[in-house]
Amino acid sequence: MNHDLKEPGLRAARYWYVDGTFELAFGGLCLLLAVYFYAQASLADSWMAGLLSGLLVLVLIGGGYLVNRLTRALKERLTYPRTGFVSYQREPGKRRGLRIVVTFAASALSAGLLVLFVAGRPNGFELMPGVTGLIFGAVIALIGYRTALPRFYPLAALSLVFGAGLSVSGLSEGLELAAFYGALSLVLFTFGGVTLWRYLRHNPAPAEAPDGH
Amino acid sequence: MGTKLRSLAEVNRLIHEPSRSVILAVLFAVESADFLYLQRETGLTKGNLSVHLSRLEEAGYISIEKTYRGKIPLTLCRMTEEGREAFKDYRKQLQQFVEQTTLNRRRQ
Repeated sequence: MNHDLKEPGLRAARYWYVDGTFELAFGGLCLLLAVYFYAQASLADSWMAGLLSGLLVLVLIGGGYLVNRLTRALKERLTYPRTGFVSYQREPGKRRGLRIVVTFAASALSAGLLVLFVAGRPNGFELMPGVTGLIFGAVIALIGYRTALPRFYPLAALSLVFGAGLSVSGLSEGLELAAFYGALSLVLFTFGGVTLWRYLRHNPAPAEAPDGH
Repeated sequence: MGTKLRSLAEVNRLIHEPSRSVILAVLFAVESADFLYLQRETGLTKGNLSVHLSRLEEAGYISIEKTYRGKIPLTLCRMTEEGREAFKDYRKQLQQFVEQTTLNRRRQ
């Protein structure tokens, strides 16, 4: 039995990432971005390019929400019946509202800048996968550090390697980002799939109602 | 015995029981958790957990909602405001006790 008063909070936070569903959902978002950048590179001279830029803003703003919803949906079907349901504490009304507004504004601003940057293709655009790989790698490593789940570190390293490699690959304009997101989604699906498979093996579905309700 | 040390004798005994303090520590960290999650986190048997949850509910420290998720029964537990305050006080008392005893040891 665990008597450390701080640990339950850490374990609850870790529970969100423990079964690989987060990687699967995040991989889904990366696949969506890969398809988007491939379509944009293919339709660069078409009238649809403008429409796609608008879609990117929507995908980037709603990306976090989408990953969250998808992870939750997977957990409701696979994790909660096996190892239990937990809902996380929400910040008090005012602070939560402020956080939502700040997150939305920051996402909209960065999405807008990214769309302008992608459309303008300025000098140094070929470094875009490297910068993206660095940002994603840092975020993934931070998740690994905060949850003490070591499998996130090789994921972060792969994100850096893909980004750096594609920056110097000399792929045609636009395709390097499609390749980056495609490769990252493949790795995320693999890591997530293996983790989920192991989790399901160790936690078979209960034959009876868990609490004898 | 100092005032702070004496305060340990007045600690909330309902919470001070090891199993119940673990249940409350888990519930304190989340919004709500179901029976299965609590059972896994605390390592208690179903019967034991049920008894302790009932005691905590009687004291008004937690609320228990019996519901269904699809066709699966779900016993959802959450800490009440009263429970959160009582647990905070309990933690404070323990912390003071630890600080006081550490200080006494250093003085010796």
